[in-house]
Amino acid sequence: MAGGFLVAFLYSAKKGQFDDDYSPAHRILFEDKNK
Amino acid sequence: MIQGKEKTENQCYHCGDSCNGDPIIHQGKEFCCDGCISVFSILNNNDLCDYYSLNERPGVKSRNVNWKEKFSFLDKEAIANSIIQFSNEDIIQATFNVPSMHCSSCLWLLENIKELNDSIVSSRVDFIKKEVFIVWDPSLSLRQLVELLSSIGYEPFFELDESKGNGKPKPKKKRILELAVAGFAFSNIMMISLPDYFSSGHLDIEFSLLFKNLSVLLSLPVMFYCAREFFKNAYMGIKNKTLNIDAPIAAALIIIFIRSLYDIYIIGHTGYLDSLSGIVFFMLAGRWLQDRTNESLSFNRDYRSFFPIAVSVLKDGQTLSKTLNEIRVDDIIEIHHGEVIPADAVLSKGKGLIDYSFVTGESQEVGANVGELIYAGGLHKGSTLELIVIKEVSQSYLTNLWNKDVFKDIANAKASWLDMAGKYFTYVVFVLAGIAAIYWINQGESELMWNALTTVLIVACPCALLLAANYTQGHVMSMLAKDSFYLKNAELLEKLRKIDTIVFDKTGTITNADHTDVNFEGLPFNEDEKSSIYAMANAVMHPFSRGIKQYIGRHELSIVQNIAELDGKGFEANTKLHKIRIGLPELFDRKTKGTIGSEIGISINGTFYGTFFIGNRYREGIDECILDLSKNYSVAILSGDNDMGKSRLEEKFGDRVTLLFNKSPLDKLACVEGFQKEGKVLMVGDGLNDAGALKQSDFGLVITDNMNNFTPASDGILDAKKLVQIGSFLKLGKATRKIITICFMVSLIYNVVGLYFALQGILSPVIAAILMPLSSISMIGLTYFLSLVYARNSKSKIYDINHVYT
Repeated sequence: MAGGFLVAFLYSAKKGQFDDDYSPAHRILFEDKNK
Repeated sequence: MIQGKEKTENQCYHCGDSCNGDPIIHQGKEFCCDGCISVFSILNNNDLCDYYSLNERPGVKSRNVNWKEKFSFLDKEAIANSIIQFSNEDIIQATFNVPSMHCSSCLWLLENIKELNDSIVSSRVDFIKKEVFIVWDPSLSLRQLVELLSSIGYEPFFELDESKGNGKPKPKKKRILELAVAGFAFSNIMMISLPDYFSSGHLDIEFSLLFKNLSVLLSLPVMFYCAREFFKNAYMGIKNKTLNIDAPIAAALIIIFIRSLYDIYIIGHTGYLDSLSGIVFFMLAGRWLQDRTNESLSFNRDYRSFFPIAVSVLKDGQTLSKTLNEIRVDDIIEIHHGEVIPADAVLSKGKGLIDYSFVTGESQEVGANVGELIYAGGLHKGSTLELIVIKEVSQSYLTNLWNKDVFKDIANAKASWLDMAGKYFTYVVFVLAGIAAIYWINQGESELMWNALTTVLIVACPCALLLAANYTQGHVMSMLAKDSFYLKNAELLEKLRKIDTIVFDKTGTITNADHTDVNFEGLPFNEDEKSSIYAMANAVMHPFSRGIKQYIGRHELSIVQNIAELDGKGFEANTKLHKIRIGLPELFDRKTKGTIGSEIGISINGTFYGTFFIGNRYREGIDECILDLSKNYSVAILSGDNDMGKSRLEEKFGDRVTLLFNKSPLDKLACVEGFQKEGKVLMVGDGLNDAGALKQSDFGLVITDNMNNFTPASDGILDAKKLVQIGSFLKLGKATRKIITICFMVSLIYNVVGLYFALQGILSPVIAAILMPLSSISMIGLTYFLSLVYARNSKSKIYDINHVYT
């Protein structure tokens, strides 16, 4: 099971999910513009 | 009548720059320039003012207000296609590199640009890469989109070589993957070994075997994937007949691995795979940290990235866009304001004002007239020029300059004392292990012998040495970088330590070039005259234009004609209403009053109106800073000005500081050479007239007012606002060696104690295996803690920044 998580991590790291660690943190704080 | 000086404390609501006492009020807020107002208006009209509520003054000052021609090359299909990633009849997608994004406001705005134009569908930012991915519909052209981005202050930056675009993230990612695997293996192996440790032999054979096999399985990727860089480096070292610092690590890893396998399968113990993977994990973590700090200093080594990727070429009366590699000798190219000259060329039309800071490190603007040679890499400001290319891009002066060893001096591999210590350490350790082995064999204690041999090799690992250096340098460099002091590489910290002489260039370094004090003595100007003077100062290419414009205050630009230069002494021009002459007092048959700074006389329609006194304004706190520095260093100030200002400086510094005036750029270089006979010189300059001296010095520090303005010729860049802290930076640099030594001592103690027990064979491998990661962890903590402590200690007093000197 642990191996499964490791593989998942490696896979997503390779695909670039962790490359931008700044934007997601700030993005959740933005307010939606309700037009 | 003397008109007074102006204090400059107002900050622009948009970009935060000082408004120089002359802010433009718009909607109740202060702005420094039209550029900032226009961005504000765009945002305001589209209900995007959250931009300002997320961060204070988040805007970037745009220096170039005319986008009309700059992006014409994007209309060219070949270029547009190389930028666009996908397009069909409904949507177009592209990723733009926007270096000016720096905060969450930028992030927010760029992800909300669809509010600015209905054709934009969506956008997404990758902040780390400083890229924005935009999807829009074809009713908006690529060029229009780029112009839109630029108009709000986020001008995209285009690189010629797209193949390079993906080069950088890879090494970093590889390391993270290796770290992940190593960390995973490390923690799991440790977990798995626990039952064996604690059961003292009462564990079921099946479980025991299972755990052992699992540990071995987990350690395989660690050995062969994560640790391969150590083996590679050690192998390289051995090929070159040296034992570098990776050699003992590699040796230790191999020995541990083999011994562990032996231990597990032949003897039936647990082996040391947990410490094996732990070592690898910590070593990789240390290297990763250093990589991260190195990334904050990115010298773009490929000069092509600085050039506009396409240039307007005149052919048969028509203007075409050509990419850099299409430009041939004898092509006539058009260069607009703000563009970089792509190839050596002769000016055929127009008046050039070229900034060669990229080429020579001097940001002095050089005027160029028809017939003169203009070198590639220069940045032109002014009206559109026509140039005849005389050398193709690949052969230009800039390439020669770039490929000279000036920029390759990092390859100059002086074995650092650490490497040497590491080498000897290794020899000593191997010798010790050998001695212990022989001794115990003689004693007939084979069990003890194996113990001693392996534990000696394991315990006495110099990896803590490497960690200490890596981490300390990493911490120090990042602490310096937080204060806007960027070193080219970590080895320069050693150089900083040896500095004992500091040389300052006066103009622009300790004086503030942008905020000069301007006084005027003479007849008052009416509005029309002011407008004409402003227009002329703006049109005429002269450094003093800035001061005059600042004094007169902003006016609408009118047409200026018949600009004539008067023998280098001044200029003459006609505006609609006036004929104006500006220049040295001798143009008006007057003598200079002999004051400090520059005197520029002005006459309108033949009548002499008066003289501008454009003074020197010293950076806040700099004199106290220099006085303090003179206590511990030999300090000198070089200046190209006349020695009118000498007495003032002498007053301030007495004989603690050497003052040398009237120095030409070559003189400055000679001065630095002279100082070098007696010590190591740190030269601080702004690239203006001091490029040669900067290169000659042991450490060339360039200060910048705008962080993007660096020169490859320097060893370090410092934000001008932090110049007064230079004493603390030097102190911290000196402290680095101290920190490393302390950590080295600590690790030595570990080793000595460990060896004491190991040599006797009474150190159980378990303890030895634990000692190693333990020493690594404590090394990490220690380096960080010490760096912090020394950084805090070296932050000397805050200099009084409210005291302004003239």
